[in-house]
Amino acid sequence: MASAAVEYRSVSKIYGDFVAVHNLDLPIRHREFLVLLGPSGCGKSTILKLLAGIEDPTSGEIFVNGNLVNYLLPRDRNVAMVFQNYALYPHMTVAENIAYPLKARRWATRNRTNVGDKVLQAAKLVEISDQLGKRPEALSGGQRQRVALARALVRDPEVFAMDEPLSNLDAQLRDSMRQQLIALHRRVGKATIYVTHDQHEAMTMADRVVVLKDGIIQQVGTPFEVYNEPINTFVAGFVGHPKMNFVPGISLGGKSVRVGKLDLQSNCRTGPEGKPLMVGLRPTDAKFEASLNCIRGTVAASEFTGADTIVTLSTGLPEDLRFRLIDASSCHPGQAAAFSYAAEHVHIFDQNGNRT
Amino acid sequence: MWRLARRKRNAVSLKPTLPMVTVSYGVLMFAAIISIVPFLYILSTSVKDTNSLFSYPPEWIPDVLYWGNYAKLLQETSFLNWTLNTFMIGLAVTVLKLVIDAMAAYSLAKLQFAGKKTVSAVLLLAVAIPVAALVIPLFFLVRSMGLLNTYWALILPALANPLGIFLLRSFIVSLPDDLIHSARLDGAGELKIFAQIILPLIRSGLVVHAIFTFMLQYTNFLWPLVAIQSESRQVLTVGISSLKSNFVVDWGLISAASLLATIPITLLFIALQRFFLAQSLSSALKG
Repeated sequence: MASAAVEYRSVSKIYGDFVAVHNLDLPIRHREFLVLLGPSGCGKSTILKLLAGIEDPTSGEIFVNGNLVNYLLPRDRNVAMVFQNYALYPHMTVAENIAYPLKARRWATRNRTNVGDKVLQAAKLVEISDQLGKRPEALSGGQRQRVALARALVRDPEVFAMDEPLSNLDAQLRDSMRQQLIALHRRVGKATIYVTHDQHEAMTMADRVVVLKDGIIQQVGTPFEVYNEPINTFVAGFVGHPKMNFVPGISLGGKSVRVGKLDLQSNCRTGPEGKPLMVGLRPTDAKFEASLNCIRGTVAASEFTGADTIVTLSTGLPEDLRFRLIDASSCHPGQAAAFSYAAEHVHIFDQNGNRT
Repeated sequence: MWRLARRKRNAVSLKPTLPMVTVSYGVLMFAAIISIVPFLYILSTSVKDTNSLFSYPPEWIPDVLYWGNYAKLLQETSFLNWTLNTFMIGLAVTVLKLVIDAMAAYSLAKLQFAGKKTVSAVLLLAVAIPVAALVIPLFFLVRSMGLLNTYWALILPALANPLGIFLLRSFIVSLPDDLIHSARLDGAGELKIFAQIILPLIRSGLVVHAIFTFMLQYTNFLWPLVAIQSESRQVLTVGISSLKSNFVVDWGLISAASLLATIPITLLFIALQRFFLAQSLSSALKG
């Protein structure tokens, strides 16, 4: 077995003057659930299309299970793709949709097996076997997505490529489909590359997350690493809700930094004294108490979201800071409040936005 | 009148007023009469003998229905032969055009190839050239190919009309690219994608194109007049006009022929009109 299920080696994709993917080096392990995360236009869907053969790379090589696939037709790459808009054939029934990859490949003739059994097997796996006679137009969004999954599963591919497959579903259905997708991945055990711009999806589903910006990988790591040790201000700002607070500061040497009139202790080295820095404070890491690294101010706004409350604090810094509290019953607009941060939660970035 | 209705009810209402309904119906009835009168006149003429044709005052419904015109048409002229030729050529052109135009439309709508823009521009230019301007060069071309006075002379030039390509292209362009990508990943080649995915999804477009093409062939007069000399290979339009001799015009006979000629095309249109309706409704709903 090759060491990687999929490997991109120095892959670039350029459309005219626009660089969609820049010099991508990325191995994807067997059985891994890898999520490509980034804002619109960052090249994540293009990376998927390059693997599937829908687009050709401008340069670089792509390997599936150790085999170079650059020159293979999409059908010969052993990659199944689930599209954002499901891409179900509207004139075919659910059963015909699921059976299409087998029929197109004359699977029954080659294997002397009944297509119907395979279709039923795939349909049962995604719990859609009672809808086989219906057309896609008669199905709900969630059911259509299951049909698309069954169509991908039926031919037993080496790799699954999923392009924002849950983005057209409502929030509740998305939650349930997310859990089912993870369970399905565990059962099938094939490498899956999943594209999303939804960080919640990425964090909850991924074995590893690849954060992209402008076609360039910013960070590859487990959800824990990406969240707790963001490699730069882009990753730090993109991952996490509410967004990380960024405040300019000046190094005091060692692991100390001055922000306005406040001195903060960090676990990161801050470099030589007087060096300009950017300090990152996650709203979720704040403690509503006056202890180490205490930030004091006046509550400007308090937004109750149900499970928690987002508190906006005016501190005299150029921008207000936001904090997330589980219990904000004693935190009302106009009141004075103090929040503190453990040293490990004070993120320090240099002038270029890179983690120190 | 809309404004009047709004003022009276002091609310925004789209319910038409009585005068507006009356005017609308009046205009529609006038248009309907204008359209149907020539047809009724032909029907009336076809069942009159020569003497009662020019009676004064004119009789819309003759006292005695005269079926002699129909008998003469079917027994003494090549009417059935012309009808067969027209149907044969119409069907051949329609089938061939559907295949060629749909393939060309698919390639222009969804495939990438060098010179695609140039090909589109040339085709668009060809649409703009009036048929009458092409008759003489086309005559010399067909003669040089030795195809004058053959069915091919009527079939081949008709295939070169690119209007259908643009019609079908507009249907194919509206299909999501992901459908095609998905089919490619599923293992289908371009021909399978074309036949199993694209064609079934543009069925209404194909029907509209088929009806237009068949009707165009059915009513084509100028080119068959130039390209076909033999009476036995002639089509309906030219055949009916040939019923008018140099000295006598047998209006009864010509009316009977014209009436019979309209029946197949009317039936075809009635049978397939739901596709027209479906198409116009879907474009309306798409907004």
